[in-house]
Order: sequence, then C-alpha cells, then structure tokens
Amino acid sequence: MVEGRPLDEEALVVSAQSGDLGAYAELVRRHQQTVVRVAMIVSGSSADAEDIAQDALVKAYLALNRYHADRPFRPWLMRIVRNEALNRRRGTGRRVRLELRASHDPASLDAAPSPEAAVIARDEQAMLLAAINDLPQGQREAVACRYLVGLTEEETARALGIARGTVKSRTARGLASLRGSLQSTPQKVV
Amino acid sequence: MTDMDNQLVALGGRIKWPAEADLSIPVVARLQARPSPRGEARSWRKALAFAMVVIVATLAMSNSARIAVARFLEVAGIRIDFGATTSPPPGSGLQLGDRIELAEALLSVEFPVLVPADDQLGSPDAVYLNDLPTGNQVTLLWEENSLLPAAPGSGVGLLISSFLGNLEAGWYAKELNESHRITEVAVRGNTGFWIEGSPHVFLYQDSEGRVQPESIRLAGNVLLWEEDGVTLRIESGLGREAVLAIAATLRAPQES
Repeated sequence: MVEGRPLDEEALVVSAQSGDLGAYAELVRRHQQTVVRVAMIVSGSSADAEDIAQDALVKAYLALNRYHADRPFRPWLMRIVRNEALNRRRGTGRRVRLELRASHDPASLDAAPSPEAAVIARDEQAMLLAAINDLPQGQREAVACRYLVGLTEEETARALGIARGTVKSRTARGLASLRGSLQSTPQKVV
Repeated sequence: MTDMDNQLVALGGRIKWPAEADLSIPVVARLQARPSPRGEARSWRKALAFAMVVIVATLAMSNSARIAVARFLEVAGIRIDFGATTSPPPGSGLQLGDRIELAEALLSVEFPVLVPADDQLGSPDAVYLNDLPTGNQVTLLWEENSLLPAAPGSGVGLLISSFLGNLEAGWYAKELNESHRITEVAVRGNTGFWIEGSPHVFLYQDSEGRVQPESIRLAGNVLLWEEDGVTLRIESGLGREAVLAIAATLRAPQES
C-alpha cells in the first residue's frame, strides 16, 4: 500500500538514480521554472530557453549516476544548464546579448493606488531594466541570477561558471553601477 | 541608497520570462523513448514508469483515493513497495546547511534562537546551521503531517529561520503600495510582513550595513520580521493566522 511520505529531494533523486522516471518528473516540475530562466540568462535568448532547458533536464537524468545524492541538487543542475546553454550558443555561432524585458501585466498595474503611481512605477522599472541591460555581461548575469531569479550564491556560481567570491564582487559592482546610472538619470515628473 | 536594491527584488517578479510550460512531460517522454539495453526490459520499465507517475500524483490525494489507486495498480500486476528505502534527512535539497542537534545550534550562534512552544508542533524534525555571507543562520524544520500541509513542491511543513540582520524596511513599505501580496502585520510587538505568492528572495542588511539578498526556500507563504537585531522568517503552506499564532509562542528553549 502506498503511504504518504515527505517527498524530500534526496529521496526523489535516489529513486530517479535507480530508474524511477516518476520521481524524476517531480524533480523536473520543482526546478523547471529556475532552469528555464537560467537558460535564458546564460544563452541570452528567451526563444531558445525552453529547448535548452529540456535538453539540460534530459542530460541531467542521464548524468545522475555521477552525482552524489547527499549534495544539493540545484547547484549541480545549474552547471548542466550552463553547459547546455553554451553548447547551443556555440552551435549557432551567434553572440546573443541578454536583453531583459518587463512583462506588462494589467493585473499588477491595477494594484497601484492611482494611475499616476502606475505610470511612475512603470517608468522606474523601465529605467532600472535599461540600466541592467547596460551593465557589463558578468555583472548583468550575476545581478539577474541573484536578484531576479533568486538563486543562492552557490547556484549562481555554478550557473555562471565562476567562484563564489566572484559572484559577490560582480554583484556588488553591478549594484554600484546601477545606483550610479539611476542617480544621474533625470526623473520624469508626472 | 538601498532603495535600488529594493526595486531589483520587486522587478524580479515582473520580468518577461519565457512562458511557463510543464517540461516533465516531454522530458520523461524523451527518456522513455531511448533504446534500452534489453528489449524485454523496456516494456517492464515503461509500466513501472507509468505506475510511478501515477503514484507521485496520488501523494497529493486523500488516503482513501491513494488506497484506491494502489489497488488498481495491484490488479494491473504492478506492486510497489515503498517500505524498504531508508529516509534521507528531512529538508535535504533545500540548502539549509549542516544538520545538527538543537542544543549544538544554540551554542553555535551569537544570537538567541527562539523555538515555538506550540504543543501540537512539538520539537522540530530537524535543525540546520548555515553559513550566510555575514554569519550563521539557524533553521528549524518540521516535515509535513496531518496538521501541517506541505508547502507546495516539497515535503516540508514549516521552516523557522533566524539570523543576525536587519530587515530592509524601506522596500516593504514601498511594496505595500504597489502589490497586493504583502501585508504589514504586528508580530510580537514588531513590524512584520506577511508575503503571499511565493516570493523568491528578500533583502536584509548585515551587521556592516551591506544589503544582502537571501533566497526563500519553500514555495508557500512567508512571515518575516525583525526582533532585536535578529531577522526571523517562517515559511510554510499555512494561512496567516495560523502562522501568527505559531510566532506568538516563540521563546528561548527551556532548560530540560
């Protein structure tokens, strides 16, 4: 009889390692959103992100026998996503630069207290996004991973192929640059 | 100066990411379609894989529904024994740090660790000590049970984390006006924030005044507040009143 049990990640990974595709399907569902977003950041392409993510998740399953289940799963997965995104970029020969865009979700704008506040909020977002897109690539990727996707330092280090100390310094420098560019941008008066 | 950091976190929820898709279906389909070393093993593995997918889905069902599914599978000639595997530490995979005993955790950090005095909760199922950029973090973990629903996407019912740090109150005040997902609440005489909708990250200020992001582990709701220089957070699948009730019982552990 099937009893309810906490589906801790390590249990899922151990099951997947012995060929349990149902357990792996659950792992995929837990991590797919992050995998797709990191694929977009590393490859610079929103259109390719889902394909890269799918390939990475297939390869991760096939690589499971090289993975120690007692180590955290997501940092390990991030390295595979990175490799897949870089492979894809090498294949096309194009250098694509990550360009982040805001989603214009009418629902979030309705939550603003006034139409003027909504316009100001959109303008500020647009300025911040433009400033992020202007950052040097290393800083842009580090800031996007840490703040926009919410990866830990370790996960960011694996996703970007850099040391944790480098994640810290690129994030700090990125934030300092962003502050600098926003302060010198004239504020729009509504 | 820190207003920009706050805006970054808010921006994270509004980026135009690629559209959400359930990749588990195509990924599993591709893995099943791979040629297997022995032809006869393939159909057995396919049946097993199907059974596993069904079983994973049924874990969200009621007990009687699960029993019905298990009986269906037995009739189909597939019997799955879940009893034999050793269980890994609860909360593994959430990157909470090193698992230790509560008594050791209390000795390892320079701030008071509070534990809930809720009879129904009991002692935590696991305690973790983690290394943040600026100091240690203690996390108390309770697995899901009949009183604690699992926070979506995990088998964890409740996390209570504490570490030295000041909340970036400016961001929360701003978000209150721009989002319906954050409510200001009073927690133990302090200003706290109840955040719904699976936030991924929040900001705190370390003892050197630097703003640091910290990632949220569970995809449920978060109660966040600062008490005497310590930032506490409760992550769970519970509603606001239930979490506030737990927070109200927090106190220094009694000498046994």
